[in-house]
Amino acid sequence: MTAAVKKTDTKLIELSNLHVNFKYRQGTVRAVKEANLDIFSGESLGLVGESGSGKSVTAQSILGIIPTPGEIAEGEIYYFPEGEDGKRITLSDLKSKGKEFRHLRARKFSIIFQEPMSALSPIHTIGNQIIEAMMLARSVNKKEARNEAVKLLRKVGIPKAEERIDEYTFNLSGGMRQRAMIAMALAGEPEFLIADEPTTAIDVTIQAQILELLENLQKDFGMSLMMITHDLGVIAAVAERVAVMYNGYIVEKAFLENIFNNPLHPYTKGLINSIPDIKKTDRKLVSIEGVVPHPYARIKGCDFRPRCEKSIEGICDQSFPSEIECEKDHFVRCYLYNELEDDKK
Amino acid sequence: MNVDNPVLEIRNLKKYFPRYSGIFRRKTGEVKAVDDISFKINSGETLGLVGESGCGKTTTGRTIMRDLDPTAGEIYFHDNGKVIDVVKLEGEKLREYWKKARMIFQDPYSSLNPRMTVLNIVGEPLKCLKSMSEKEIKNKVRNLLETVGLDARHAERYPFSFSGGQRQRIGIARALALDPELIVCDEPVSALDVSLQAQVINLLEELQEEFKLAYLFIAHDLGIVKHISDRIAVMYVGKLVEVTDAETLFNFPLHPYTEALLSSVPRPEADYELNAISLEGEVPDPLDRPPGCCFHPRCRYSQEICINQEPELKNYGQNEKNPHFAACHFAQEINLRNIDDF
Repeated sequence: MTAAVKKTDTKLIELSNLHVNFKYRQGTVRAVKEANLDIFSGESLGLVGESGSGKSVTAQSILGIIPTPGEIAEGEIYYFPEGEDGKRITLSDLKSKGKEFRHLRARKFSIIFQEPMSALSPIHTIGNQIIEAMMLARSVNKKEARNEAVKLLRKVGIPKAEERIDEYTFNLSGGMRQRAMIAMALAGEPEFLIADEPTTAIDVTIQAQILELLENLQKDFGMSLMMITHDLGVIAAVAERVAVMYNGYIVEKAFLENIFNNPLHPYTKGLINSIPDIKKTDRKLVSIEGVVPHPYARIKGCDFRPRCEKSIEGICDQSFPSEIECEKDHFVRCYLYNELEDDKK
Repeated sequence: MNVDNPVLEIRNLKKYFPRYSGIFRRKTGEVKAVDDISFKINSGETLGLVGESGCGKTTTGRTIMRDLDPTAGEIYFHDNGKVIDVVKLEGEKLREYWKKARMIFQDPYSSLNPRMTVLNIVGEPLKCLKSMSEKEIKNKVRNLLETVGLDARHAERYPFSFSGGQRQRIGIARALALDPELIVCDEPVSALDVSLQAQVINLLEELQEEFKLAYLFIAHDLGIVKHISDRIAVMYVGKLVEVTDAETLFNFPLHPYTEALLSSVPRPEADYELNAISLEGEVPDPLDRPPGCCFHPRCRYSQEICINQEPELKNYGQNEKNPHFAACHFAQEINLRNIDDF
């Protein structure tokens, strides 16, 4: 776990002050708010949060696949292609269905979804689906693509790949389906892979295998991985750097060691404390009281204030705290760590 | 917790689902969802039931509730010294049993009728099984809502105005309404967010203390099961493979499947390297189970005997008070790693 050393300084993706809104008749849901996030090439970044916190929408906005009526309301997403020094593509300006973005999605970015059964086509064999992705991404003919697909299936740990390639998804078990989807995502040899809750629908024994697989593939292919999950255990197993989201805001981001050993935001602390420790017993779980705010709700001040034990009247209910770098590479959005507060004391 | 005071006892319980196929819909096989399992739950105790999806956990719970009729086997419920044979219960007697044994479901969205108010949802068992007047029901429901940490003034609301965690509390209030002795909790927190899981688990523990409830806690999350359970039963393809108290299971596992499960739990620790024992192949089809020990195709320690002979669930416990059941031919010979070794 020498994450700090491994990290390269080549930025691959940058989110700058990103806002994503979903406009409905009843009101606007602000799914992502003021998100600033860098993803470096070759790293694995974990994005944690509860359901509705904006994790998936953040990922979707990078790929330009935000479902309607969602749209980027403010801010930019930049992509720095590998090997092309200084070149910068503003993804948020591209048309999501335009030629350029489609090209990028085929060759540079990829995504693994939570439910392989609904993400894969039930009426095509897994081979055909992988071959299709591969032919779009690289200039190969069908035969070459098929050979490559068999190799890929082997790589993701599907036994008897040359036979399995002609099977339909309903013939495969949950774990095998998830592997097939990973193979499909890797078909274009992407630079950046998003895994959106890839193991939530899978049993623990298979989960462990899939996590190990993702970790190995990430190293083999030298790609950047963004792991979206609500399970801190999964994060600890895969990620080098972690961003914690709450109600659309990235409230804390730091290296894995710092998130677990020195969490600063009260929400991060709450999350870590609310998980039962498998080794120790008879500790009462410390739960975060209250509930996640309603999506239409507008909270004055910090969004976590209603559930926060440490909230300070007159400060926390004024505005959402801005991002502070408390120690190197450890950012938090909380007034407790703001110099402002120290000045007032 | 070692006092033998069972509230529920099941012996050799089996539940098979027939499979029909062909144009004459002939019976061509049986899915052995639950195959010959026996255990006891003591009064005030939590028995955790873990296993992978499809291993028969939920079927066990539903059979105990007589939601499903067992294919074979016995279920005994101990009610203040009286022993009730649950399998034979019919009509009015079965309704009596349902006052004592209740269930909490996994999905708080589909287990509450969206067209009923909370008052009607929580009050329904009172209305059906205990002839209480409207007014009594109203008061009781209000008390129940407060017991589970909801605002009694919200009794007139419909489920959609509550969040997932609050809905699960409504489900718990409904289960508590008849002052039961046993609650079958079928994955009660797995549909909830992490911060809410802790709230619901704490609530279940408080209620257990207050009302001396016994829980059958069905779950797949080992961390949560360990936290809440006194004893744990591990299930694999319809069979129990290991049953003992929570501490012993995690520190001295006797079945290779338990060992693999322990190794697979990702832990929220920065310097923890997941080093899972990789199980080859897949969970067997319960329609077509392998001969002998059904874990043998995936087991690292399997030998000739495992293919030919099915191991019995035997007690390997060191003392009388603390039995440790395991179904493995080599339970005493192989030295399995425990939770600290991974």
